[in-house]
Amino acid sequence: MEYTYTLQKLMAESNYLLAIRDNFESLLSKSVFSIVESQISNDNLDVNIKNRIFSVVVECVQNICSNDKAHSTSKNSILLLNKVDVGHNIVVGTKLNNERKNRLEQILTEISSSSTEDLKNKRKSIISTRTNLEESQKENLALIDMFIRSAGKVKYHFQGEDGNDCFLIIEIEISNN
Amino acid sequence: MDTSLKQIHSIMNDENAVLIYSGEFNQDIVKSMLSYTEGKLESSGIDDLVRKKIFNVMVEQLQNITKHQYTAEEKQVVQPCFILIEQENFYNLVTGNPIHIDTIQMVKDRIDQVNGLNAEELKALYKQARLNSRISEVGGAGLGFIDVARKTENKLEYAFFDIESANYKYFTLKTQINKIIE
Amino acid sequence: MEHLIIDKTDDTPSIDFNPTSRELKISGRSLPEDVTTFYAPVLEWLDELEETPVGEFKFIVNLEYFNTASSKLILDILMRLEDIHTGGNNTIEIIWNYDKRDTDMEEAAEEYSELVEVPFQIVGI
Repeated sequence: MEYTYTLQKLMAESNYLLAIRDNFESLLSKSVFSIVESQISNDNLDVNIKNRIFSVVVECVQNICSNDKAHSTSKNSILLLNKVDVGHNIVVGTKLNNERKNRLEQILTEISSSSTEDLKNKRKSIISTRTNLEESQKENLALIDMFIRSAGKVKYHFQGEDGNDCFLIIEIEISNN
Repeated sequence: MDTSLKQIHSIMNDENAVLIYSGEFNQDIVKSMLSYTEGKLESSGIDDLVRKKIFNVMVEQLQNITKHQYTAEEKQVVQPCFILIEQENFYNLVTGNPIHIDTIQMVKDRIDQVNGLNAEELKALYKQARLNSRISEVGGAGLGFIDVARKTENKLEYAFFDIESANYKYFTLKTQINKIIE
Repeated sequence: MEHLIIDKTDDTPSIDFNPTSRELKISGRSLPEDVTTFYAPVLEWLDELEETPVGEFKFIVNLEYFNTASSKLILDILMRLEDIHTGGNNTIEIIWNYDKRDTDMEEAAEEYSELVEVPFQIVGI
C-alpha cells in the first residue's frame, strides 16, 4: 500500500489537489465539473477567475479527453488540478492516435503563434459556420478558448508512447490577477 | 513539464487508480467525492445494492478522515488523501491520513479484532459497540471499522508509514467492495 | 405560437419563450455535450416565429456560463433572430445581462453584438 503515501507525497510536492484518470464520457464529466466546482468554490476567488478555471476544465474534458470513442472503456485520459503561487493549473493528458496527433500538433502550433486579436477573429469565423462543426473545428475552438482565458499561459508537449500512440499533455495556468 | 506528473500518472496506471484527492477534507469535498463516485457507478450500470454499499463505506471512510484532528503544524507535513481504484471485479477505497502515534495501537487492535471475526460475530460486535457509549473515545472510528467490515464482507487492509514527524505516522486504510454480490 | 418552456438542469439553461408577453428568455448555464439536440426545439420555435407576424420581441439573455460548443449555437440563435428582424414580420431587441464582475462574459456579449445586425443592449448587473 506504499503507493498511497507515495502518491500523496507526489501530489503534495506540486500542490496537486485532484487527479482523475478516465475516459471522460459525458455522464462522468458532469461529476468532474461538480467536483472542480466544489474545490474552487471554497476559495475566495473572483467570479471571473472561477469561470475561467471551470471553463478550461469543461473544454479539456469535452474536447480533449473524451475523444476516444473507439476505446470508450479504456481510461486513456488524465485531468489534474493544482494550486500554484499565482493561481491554478489545469493539466490534461490524453492518448492520441497518429491522425489526431498530427491534427492537434498543427492546431496548437498555429494557435500558440497567434496574437489574441487573431485568435478572437478565428473564433468568430468558426462559430459563424452555419453547419454543424467538424471535430477539428471543435478542438480548435476549445483550444482557442483556453489560450484566451489563460492569457496565453498554455504549455504543451507530445510524449512518445508504445509505437504509434502518443500522449499529449497540456498545462493551462489561470492566474489570480 | 514536472516529473511528479509523470510519476503520478504511471502509478495511477499501475494501480488502476481512477481518482486521487489530496488536500484538506471538509464537508463540501466529501460531498463532491461522493457525488463523483455515485455518477461514476451510475454510468457503469452497476447493481444498485453494490452502489449503496460503496456509498455507505465511502461515507464512513471519508468521515473518518474529517474526524481526525491534527495541529496546523502537522498539516504542513502531510495531507490526507483519498484514492479510488477500479479493478475488473472490485473497487478499492483507499484513505490516508496522519495519525498520532498514541492512537496507533488502538486503531491496530480495532482493525485486527474486526478482521478476525465472521459475519455473525461482526453483527454482535456492532450491536454491542452501538450500545457502548465509550466508542466516543475514538470519535466513533471503532464503530466505523465494524460497519465497513460488515458492508464490504472483506478484510480491511492497513499500514502505517513513517513521516517527517515525531508524533505522527501516515495511516492508510484500504477496503474492497466486490462488483458482484455472491 | 406555443409558449416554449424548458426547465434548467445542471448543464442546460432554462428557456422561456412567451409569445404573449413577447419575451424570449434564456437563463443559467449551458454546457451540454450534445448541444444540437438541446437547441433543436429552440431553433424550430424561432423558425415558426419568422413566419408568424406578432410584433415586437425582446430576447433576454441571463447566462452565467456557456461552453464553446454552446457558443456556436448561441450565435445560430442570434442569426435566426437577425433573420426574423430583417424579414419584416417581427422586430427584435436583444438584451444581454451579465454579472458586471464577469469581464469575460461582457467581452463575449460584445463579440456577439458585432456579429449580428439587431438592436443589442449589454447590461452589467
